[in-house]
Amino acid sequence: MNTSQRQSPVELPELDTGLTLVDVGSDLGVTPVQSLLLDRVFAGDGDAYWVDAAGTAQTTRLRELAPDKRYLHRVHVARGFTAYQQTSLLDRLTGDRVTTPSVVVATGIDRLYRDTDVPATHAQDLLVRAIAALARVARVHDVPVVVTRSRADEFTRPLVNAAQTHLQWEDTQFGPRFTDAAGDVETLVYHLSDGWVQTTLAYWQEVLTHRARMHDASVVGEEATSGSV
Amino acid sequence: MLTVDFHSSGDVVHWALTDDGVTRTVHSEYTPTLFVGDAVRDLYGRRGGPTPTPPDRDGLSESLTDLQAFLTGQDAVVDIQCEAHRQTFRTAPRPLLRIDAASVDAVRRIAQRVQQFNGPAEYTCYNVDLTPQFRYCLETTTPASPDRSVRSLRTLTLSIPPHKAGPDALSHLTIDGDAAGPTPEATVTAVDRAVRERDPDVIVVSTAKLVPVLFDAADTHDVPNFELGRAPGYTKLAGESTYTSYGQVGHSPARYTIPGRVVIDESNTFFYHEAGLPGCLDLVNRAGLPLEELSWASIGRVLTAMQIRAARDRDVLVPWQAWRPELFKPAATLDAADRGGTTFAPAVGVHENVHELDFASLYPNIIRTRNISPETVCCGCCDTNDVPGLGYSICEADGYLPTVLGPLIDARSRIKDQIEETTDDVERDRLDSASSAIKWILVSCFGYQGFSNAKFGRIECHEAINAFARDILLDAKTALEDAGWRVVHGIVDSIWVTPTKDREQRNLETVAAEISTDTGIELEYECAFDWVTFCPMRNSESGALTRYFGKRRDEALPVSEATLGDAIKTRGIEGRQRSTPTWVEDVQAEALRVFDKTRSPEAVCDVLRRTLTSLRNDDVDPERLVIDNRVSKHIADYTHETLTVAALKRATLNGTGLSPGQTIQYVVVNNNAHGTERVRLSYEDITRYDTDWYANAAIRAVESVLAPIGWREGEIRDYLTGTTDQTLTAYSERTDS
Repeated sequence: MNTSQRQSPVELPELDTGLTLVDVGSDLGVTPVQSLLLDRVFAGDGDAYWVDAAGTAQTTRLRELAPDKRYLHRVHVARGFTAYQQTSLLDRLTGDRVTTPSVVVATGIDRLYRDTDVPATHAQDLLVRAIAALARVARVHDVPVVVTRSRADEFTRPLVNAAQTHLQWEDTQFGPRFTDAAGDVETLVYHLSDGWVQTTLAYWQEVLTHRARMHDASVVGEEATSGSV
Repeated sequence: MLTVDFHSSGDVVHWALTDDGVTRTVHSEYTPTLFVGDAVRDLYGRRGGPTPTPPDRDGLSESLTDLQAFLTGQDAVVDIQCEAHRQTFRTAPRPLLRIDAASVDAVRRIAQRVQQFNGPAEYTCYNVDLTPQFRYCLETTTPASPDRSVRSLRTLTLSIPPHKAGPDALSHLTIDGDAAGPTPEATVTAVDRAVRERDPDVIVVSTAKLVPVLFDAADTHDVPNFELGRAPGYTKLAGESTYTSYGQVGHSPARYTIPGRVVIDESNTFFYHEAGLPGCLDLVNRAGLPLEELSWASIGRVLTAMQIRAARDRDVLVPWQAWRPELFKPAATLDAADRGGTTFAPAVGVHENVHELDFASLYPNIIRTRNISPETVCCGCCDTNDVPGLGYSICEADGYLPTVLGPLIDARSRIKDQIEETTDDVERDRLDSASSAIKWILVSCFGYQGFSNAKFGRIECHEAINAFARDILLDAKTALEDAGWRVVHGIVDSIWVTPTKDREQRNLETVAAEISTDTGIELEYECAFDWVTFCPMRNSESGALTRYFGKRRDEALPVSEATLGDAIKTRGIEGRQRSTPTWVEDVQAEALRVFDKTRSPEAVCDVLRRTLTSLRNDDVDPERLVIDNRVSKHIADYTHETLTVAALKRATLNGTGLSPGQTIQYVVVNNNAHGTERVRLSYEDITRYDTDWYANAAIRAVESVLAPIGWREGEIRDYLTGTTDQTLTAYSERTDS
């Protein structure tokens, strides 16, 4: 992971090709990950693909976050409602119908395998298979793959082992921050000099509007956001 | 057939009615069948799109051949061959492994071995989790219904009160309503005699636990040759279990069966409660699901049985696991698809001269008239834009789901006509039961399409149905407005209109008929109201979607006080809720009567004042204060210390714990006390009640009536305590204006 602190006061981690595990505090849910996803859409040429097994793919938040509604046509979503559906979906990511993605996101990858209708040993096999499928996605499309899990425990250890990068998202007194679990690199999303920790929707809208401008991507309703960033 | 017993040896015993009893036939040759296909990625993975395109092949794949070699010779497997069938509605028959199992129990064992062989997701299994009797009927083409042309079914009902448990409980057992015996021993003897004398085909038990309890008691008291079935013993089909599925905790009680007779467990049956035995038998005939299995089945299971039969007609196998995922769709489309049913926010307050119109069986009719089915929506072969707002195509070829629901829709409307015509009360009861059983299937078919584990469900179907429903409701609104009517509320399939001021109105029935023709679904004129009141939400000024009441124009209020008859239609308010104590229900009914007569909040509050006085004078019979709640989960799964939890704990303390699905009845005696002291169960000796708690409940019930005209709890309390000074209020209003 690289950061370029000097380029801009608003930073999001730059994602490398391969698997990136992001652990997010549950109170913010999927918002930081959706922000990473949109950021790639601003920057990249391809569309984003999102497989959700966490029941978090409600589009309301994504719609609110996107600086321009047209981005919603460039984010392709499919939700797994059973462990088996999710398994099929992860395979589908390397199929004919998914072409040149700019980023692939899989939220709550472990969640459905924890359902009691999946026998325990089978669940572990399926999870490992799911991780392998995602690694394959990264390789075939040469893209970053962002993964989240519902719980950090022994069951999801294979995911930690497989991920090239393991980011932890946390709220600090200076603002939200992504920290690389492996080392010293961190990205402070947006330095809030007054010490006021902002984790609201408005905050993320502002971050994303700024990131879109940085990438010369489309932003509508600019007049509606504060110009102070 | 009446019922089928399955022995661990693999023998199957088939029981059928004769004019004086039953016949028993043993099938030792019966072998249940499952199928195994290739890896799921061939169907839905990399090759997956709207139409699965598995690679062509003639015989078995290498991986299936490996599996065949692995399974051959195993005890659970009787025969194993290559046979072609369709794995999905959208694929042609392919050569698969056909495995004939040694017994119904062996089927799942084999499937689990397949799952463990050669890595996860390498094989897809079919026809694995069918219930045994249903499977037997399917595979041997045996009709699932008992042949009632031979004779009608004989039933015997054994009940113990829900609050009785332990060894003494049997002393309270009744046989068809009559006390069986003063002691457990006498009870067992009486049951044994009744079963022998009556030779019932169906035994209805208040709880299935009675089956082992009776056998144990027979053992303890040395009652020789005690039997409930037509052959010795009983079988536990499933243990009591708690499970999680999609993050939800569920509970299923233990199930028991006895040879040669159907057991219906009143604590674990939906359809027997809703439709009685005649309704169940009617449904057995339509769904092809045998009576005992139908009795404990959920609505989804019955619908699935129908779907499985329709799939079988098309040579489509039943997938074991729900592999089929939704298609990737742009977030913009998902955003449009995810909106749910359309509602027009109701204008809070009283509306005069209102008419209600309802689309008949809207969702099932959308499925039928728009050809919605898992294999027709986004079919992949038609490049058309058929679903409004979503752009999904719908195939030209006939879908299977409309062929399942069509006959049900027709049957229900035929039965409704017969109910109108019949003058025979017994016949009407039978028709009502049948109608009610079908109604539940129709009501649920839409939601079930979106259920993750539905065998043939598909989220895109669910979305398409919703999109059509929105479109139809909006079109109807426009047509009504063009005809001079103002829409005061609309929700999913119902619309309320009133004449638009200063406009001429076209005849409503004519307009409704035109809308019916245009949409292909009948918009029925439901009724005229003198007035309808839409309630605000409890903590907001906005209109609640499903809380309203209105006075039907053609119905007079009954002369006797405190009942409303059909004159006032209510939805969503206390009187409609089953848990509401009779006393609160009566307070609200009286408030509604006075409201209809006077429209005066003061007059309504005067009613309340009188009732509260009698409450405070301890004049209310505690029986009228009983709260009746259905237990929705296990006591440990409740996260809040509600009154119901207190009551459940009290029941457990008394040794009479309740299972989900059962009802608990209690009176609040001291809401401020701790734990189980807050309530008394209805069967206990109740000498007092919590006056304040019930007074609050009554005030809330009256608030529901008055909130639409601006009187909330505060105003009601002020009036009751007399602090509202009419003169002062009038004065301040004058100075404000």
